[in-house]
Amino acid sequence: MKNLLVLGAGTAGTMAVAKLRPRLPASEWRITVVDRDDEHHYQPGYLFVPLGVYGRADVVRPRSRYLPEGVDLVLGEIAAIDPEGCAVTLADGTALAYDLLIVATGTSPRPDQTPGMLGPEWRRSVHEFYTLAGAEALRDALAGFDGGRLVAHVSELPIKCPVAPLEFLFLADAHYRERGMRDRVELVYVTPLDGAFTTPVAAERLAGLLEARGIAVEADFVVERVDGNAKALVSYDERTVPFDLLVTVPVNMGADAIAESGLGDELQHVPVDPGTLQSRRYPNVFALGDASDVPTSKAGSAVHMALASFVENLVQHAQGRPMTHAYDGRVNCFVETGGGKALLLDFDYATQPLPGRYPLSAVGPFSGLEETAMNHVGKMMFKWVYWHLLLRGRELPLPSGAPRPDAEPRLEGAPS
Amino acid sequence: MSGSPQPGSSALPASTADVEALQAQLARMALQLDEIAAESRRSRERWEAIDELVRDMTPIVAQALEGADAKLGELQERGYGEVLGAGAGVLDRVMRTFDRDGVKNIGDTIVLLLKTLQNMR
Repeated sequence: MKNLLVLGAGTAGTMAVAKLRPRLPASEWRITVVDRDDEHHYQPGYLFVPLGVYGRADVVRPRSRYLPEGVDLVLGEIAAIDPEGCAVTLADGTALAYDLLIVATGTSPRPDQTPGMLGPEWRRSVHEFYTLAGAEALRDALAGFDGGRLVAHVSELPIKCPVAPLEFLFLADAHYRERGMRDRVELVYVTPLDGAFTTPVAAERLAGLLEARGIAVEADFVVERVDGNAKALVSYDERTVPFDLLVTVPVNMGADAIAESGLGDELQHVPVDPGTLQSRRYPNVFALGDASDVPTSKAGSAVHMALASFVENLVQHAQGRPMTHAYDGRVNCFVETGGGKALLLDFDYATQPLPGRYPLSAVGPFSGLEETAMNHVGKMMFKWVYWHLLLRGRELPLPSGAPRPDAEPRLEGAPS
Repeated sequence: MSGSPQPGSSALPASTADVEALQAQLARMALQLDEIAAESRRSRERWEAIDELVRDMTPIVAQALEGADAKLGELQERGYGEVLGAGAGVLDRVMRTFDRDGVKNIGDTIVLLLKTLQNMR
């Protein structure tokens, strides 16, 4: 009996085993998933917690409920990964040998990486919403916020769901307009990028939306520290951005065990081939989702898009055959823009976000790069799709490709 | 003496074959129970999914209806209702005045007129 070991029962790990269990004969392959607890978090839902749209029950459910039959769940902290000896050791001493390893441990906010962030103002006037505890604390802080300078800030890229801080600002703008106090709230977006987003087409579109809502942008801001006493962000080039309430996205890093194993890069993400997601150092190790260093957005939809080729490749590899499929880096995500509207971004390693209709090219109902009420419906319905279709490995009733004009410019540095 | 239990006595199997048959029957029943439990779990999950879908959709549909209602009100205020009503009246008079061939001829004539106007540009 061979062992497929999956580290992480989050979005990537759960979806992967749902697809792989029926493909790998149970008589030949044991599949084991390791995670620290039995709480699966719907992380895209954190965005809606601070403004009270979602609560804990919307975003947390037992992991065990979503794993298919024939998959063993082991609860425990990962203490060490030994890629040379093909074994993983848990904190309680349990050793798990593997023939194939899938690293799906995700990436996490690390406020400890920015001096001053975890100072006395942490969870008082300095907040984040990339954890449930953080989103709930921000919800409480916003309830008592009656005006001032509200700053949303990205520390460093890559981060999970890079549009989320922009969405937060759009939602805050709509929220304060509805309450008739928008004139008392100054909204500012602080980013290390030279624009609102990573790809030029989306950056231009999102910059237009920020401008239309009167949200100021402080670009090229590489944070050096948070000055809690002065309530200000300070950059390496000594600019300061004062705040009354800071909503930051801390540096995102992979699991510590990745770094200690020698599998990771400086941010503890696993360097992989962007097409096969196979480790560049160890052929029997793969990294899926946020844990890898693939040059596309760290988002659940990237996993969903990658799975079709990944599963075929892994099955071929398990059978000792060459891998013949490649992930193209495709991601699509709804960007909530407030007031019951959203826009859709759809891009891959080589192609910039596109205009057009999705999934049916003539009728949509969703629209690329356009703010529509239907896109908002798509955003809000995604929670149901996530819990009931995606995690269980069920196929979505959608055509496989969105419309793709031939003449779209390739992105610089895209893998070919 | 027969291995069968006597009427009125407790129904204990008396031979190895009886015990094996009983064991096989119990195993089948256990499998059936397992299948029933799995099907029951799947049914519960389906109902939960439907229930959640309805709960999630309700505010979204309500918001969409509010938007549609506002839009219809706006169109009504701009006089679209009267225009559509008058248009329906014209259509009704055409249908009562002409037969199928007559309507087809009118259509052909309108297309011809439009083409002529287009060529005049």
